[in-house]
Amino acid sequence: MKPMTSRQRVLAALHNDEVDRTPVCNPTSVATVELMDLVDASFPEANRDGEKMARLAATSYTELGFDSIMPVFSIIQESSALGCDMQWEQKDNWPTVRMASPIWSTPEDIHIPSDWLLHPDVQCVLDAIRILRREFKDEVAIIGKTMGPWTLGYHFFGVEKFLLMSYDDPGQTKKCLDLMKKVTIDFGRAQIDAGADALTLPDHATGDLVSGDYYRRYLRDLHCEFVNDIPIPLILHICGRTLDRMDYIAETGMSAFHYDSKNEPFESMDIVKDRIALVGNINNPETLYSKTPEFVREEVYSNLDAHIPLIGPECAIPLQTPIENLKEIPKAVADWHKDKDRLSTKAPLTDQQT
Amino acid sequence: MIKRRPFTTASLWLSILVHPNHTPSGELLTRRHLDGDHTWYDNVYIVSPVHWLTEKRGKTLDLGLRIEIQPMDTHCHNISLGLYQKEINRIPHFLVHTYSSHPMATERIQFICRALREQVGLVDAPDLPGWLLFPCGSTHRRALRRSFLDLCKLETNAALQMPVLSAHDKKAECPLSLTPQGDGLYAIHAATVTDKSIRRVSALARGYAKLCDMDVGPSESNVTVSFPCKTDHHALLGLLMYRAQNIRATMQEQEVSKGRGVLSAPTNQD
Repeated sequence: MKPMTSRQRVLAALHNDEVDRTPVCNPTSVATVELMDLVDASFPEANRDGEKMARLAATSYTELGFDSIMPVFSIIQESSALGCDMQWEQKDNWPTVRMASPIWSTPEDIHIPSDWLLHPDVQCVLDAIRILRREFKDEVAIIGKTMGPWTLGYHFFGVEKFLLMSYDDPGQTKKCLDLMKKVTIDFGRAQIDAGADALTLPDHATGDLVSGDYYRRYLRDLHCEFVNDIPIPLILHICGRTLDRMDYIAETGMSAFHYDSKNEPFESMDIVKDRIALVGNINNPETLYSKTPEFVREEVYSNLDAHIPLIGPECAIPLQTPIENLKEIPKAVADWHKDKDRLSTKAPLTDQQT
Repeated sequence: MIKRRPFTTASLWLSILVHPNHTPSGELLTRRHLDGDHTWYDNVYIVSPVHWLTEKRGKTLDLGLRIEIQPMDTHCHNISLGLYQKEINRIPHFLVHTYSSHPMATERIQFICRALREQVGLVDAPDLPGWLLFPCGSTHRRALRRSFLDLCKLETNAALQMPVLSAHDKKAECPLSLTPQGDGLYAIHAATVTDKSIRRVSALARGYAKLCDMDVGPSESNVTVSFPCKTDHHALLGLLMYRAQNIRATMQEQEVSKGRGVLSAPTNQD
C-alpha cells in the first residue's frame, strides 16, 4: 500500500477505510510540563493564547510522533466564555470550572449570547486551529474539541444539582440538554471553519455515576443529532467503564469512541465491531505517568492485537508524564507492524526445517 | 579573562539549534554571563514564534528514564527540572536536565548538580560530562528522587552545609543519631533512653527503610539500618534524616504531588 500522510491515515481510520499502518492519535491532550518548556508555551497561557496553544499542541506531531494534533487541552473553554467561575491554575495543573458556584439552576436561566463565539477563550482555540492548519497544511490531522451538553450541564448547574435534576425531573433535564446543545454545535462548526479535520466531543456520562440506560435515555439521540449537525468525523469521549453503553454509542453514527483503560480492548471490539472506531485505552495514571516504556509497549500491543483502529492515551495525559513513555507509543505501533509484516512475508517452513 | 562556557545538557538543544543548516529565520544571540573573574558566553538561537511550529522538530533527547521531575521550579522562573537515569556498563548514571531555554536555567542546573554532589554524595561520571553517579554504582533511586526534590527547594547559590547524622527529635524529646559501623551499616540511638525515644529510634529506622530501601537490623537493643550496596552514604542519610523522622508526612506530601496535574473527570472535580 502507498505510504499515507499522518492526516490521511487518521481520517481513513475514522472513516473505517484501509490504512498503511494504525494511526497514533490523541483525541485529548498530550501536553506535558517539559514540552511546555521546550516550546516556551506553558499553562495557563497556553490555554488562553492561540499562538502558544498551537505551539504546544504541535509537539504532539513534531516531538512525539503522533499522527494528530489536538490544541484544546482543557474542557473549559466554552464554560469560561459563557461565564462560569474559573480557576486557571498554574503551569503544573489543569484549569477547572468552580462547579460549587454554578451559574444556572433552571432551563429558564440558560442564556447563550449570540456573540459568545467572540469570547477570547473561544477565539484562542479558533486561532490555534487556523495557525496549525496554515503551518502544517495537509500533513497532519488537526483535531478540535467541543464539549457535549451533559458535561456543560455539570459546569453550568454543578455536578450534584445536575445529576439530582436528572433523577427528579427528566423532562426539565432534557430541556436543559436541548438548549445547551447549541453551544456544542456552534463551537464545533466554528472549529470546522477554522480548519479542524475532526472533533473530539467529550460528554462525561461517566461509568461511575451514570448507567448505560441513562446514556440511552438522555444522550444517544442527542449524539445522533450531532452527527447530522456537525459535518466532520466526531470522536465521542467518555471516561470510565463504559461497556454497558458501547452498543448504544455504536448506534450514534459517530466516527470513533475514545475509550478508557477500564474496558478491555477485545471485549470492547466485540461489542462495537466495525460500527464505530475505537481509540484510547493506554492507561494514564499508572502506565504512562508512573511506569516505563516496556509497559506502555505492552498496552499498545494489546490494543493492536485486538484490532483497535487508532492507538492513543485514554484521556488527557498527566502533565508530568515522561516524554519517553509518550514517544514509545508510535515506536511500538511501528514495531508491531514491522513484526506483523515480517511474519506474513516469511516463507513457509520446509519438511526438513520442521 | 574570557572563556567559553563548558558544555552542559541544558544548552545541548540550544547548540543543536545553532546548526548552520538551521537558520531560515530567527536571531542568533550570544548571551554573556559574569561569574566571579570569568565571563561566560552562550550562543542561543531564538526562533521566531511561527517557526517554532514547523522548524523545531525532534528536539527532545534520549536521556534514558526520567525518574523524577520538579514541574515548576519556583527558584528559577517556574522551569521544569527532570532527573534522568541511564545504565552505562550496568552502572546507573544520573542527569539533571531542563528543556527550558531560560537564561538562568544553566546556572540552576549547575547548582542542583553541585548540591547533589555535596549533599547526596554523587560524583561526576568519568567519561560522560554532566552525568553523575553514586560511588558504589547502585541506583538508590527512591532516596535520590526524594533528595532531588528537596534540593530543588533551595535557592540557587544557597549555602550548602554538610548534612550531619544527628538531629533533635521532638517526639523523643532528645537527639537521635546514626553511628556508622562500616560497610553501609549504621546504628541508630537516642541520646536519652526512654520509652518514647526507643519507639522513635524504631520509627526512624522504618522511615529510612521506606525512603532509602534500607534493611532494618534485627536486634531490638541496637537498632541498625544498612544499605544493600554495603557502602557508606553519610551525606544521603544526613540529608534525609528529617524526612525519615517525619515519614508519614513525607509519604502524604508525595501522594498529593503525584495527583497534581492528573486530569479527572468533571464528576471527580470540586
